[in-house]
Amino acid sequence: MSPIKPPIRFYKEFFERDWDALGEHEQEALTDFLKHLQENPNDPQILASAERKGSYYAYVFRPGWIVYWSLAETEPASMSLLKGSEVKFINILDVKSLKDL
Amino acid sequence: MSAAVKDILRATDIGRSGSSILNQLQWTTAILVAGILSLVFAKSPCWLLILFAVLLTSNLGLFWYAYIYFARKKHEALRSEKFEHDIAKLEQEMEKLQLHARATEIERGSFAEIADATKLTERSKKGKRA
Repeated sequence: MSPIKPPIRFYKEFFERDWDALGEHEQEALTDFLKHLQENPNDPQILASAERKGSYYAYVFRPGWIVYWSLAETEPASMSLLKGSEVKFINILDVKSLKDL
Repeated sequence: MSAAVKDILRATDIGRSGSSILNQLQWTTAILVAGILSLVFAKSPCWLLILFAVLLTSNLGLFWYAYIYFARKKHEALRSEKFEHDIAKLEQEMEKLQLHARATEIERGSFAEIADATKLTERSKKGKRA
């Protein structure tokens, strides 16, 4: 688990268009999911229930709604390979209704 | 199956693109045509040839009726499984491209950042108040 929460970076149109278009329940569900993701971006439980599309992940955060994200990770330092890489940012790439797919 | 028949089937695209709703009728047409040719070569009785010709005509009539009906009422039923598969694959690729474009935009600095996901709740409250 990362000691510091990685910041979340949203695509440009998220707050301009998509966030306000979500219903109250969808906003709450997405917030809860992102809190969980920020606590532990590599949570095996999340990664197991997410669908991996190349270097991106897709997760149904509420029935009928899907969020896509990727993780920007730091390169592991050569002297501390055992420590592994740390998540620097969480990039939210899209939020959409399954009806739009 | 002889090479000539295989070539004809390949040219007509029957059975290669997965099943569409008209696939069975296409196969019946091919079988009846092959049957008529065999009867001609075998010098079979005339009534048998007429029977096959009637069956072929009925089948072609049904094919065109079904084609026009589905083209007007439910045109997606005419698409083959291969076509549906190709479209689904294309959509997946487009989705990946869109995600890749978004990731690139973010890497180039075009993003909105929040340090804590709990801040999202505040944004929604602000939105509701406005």
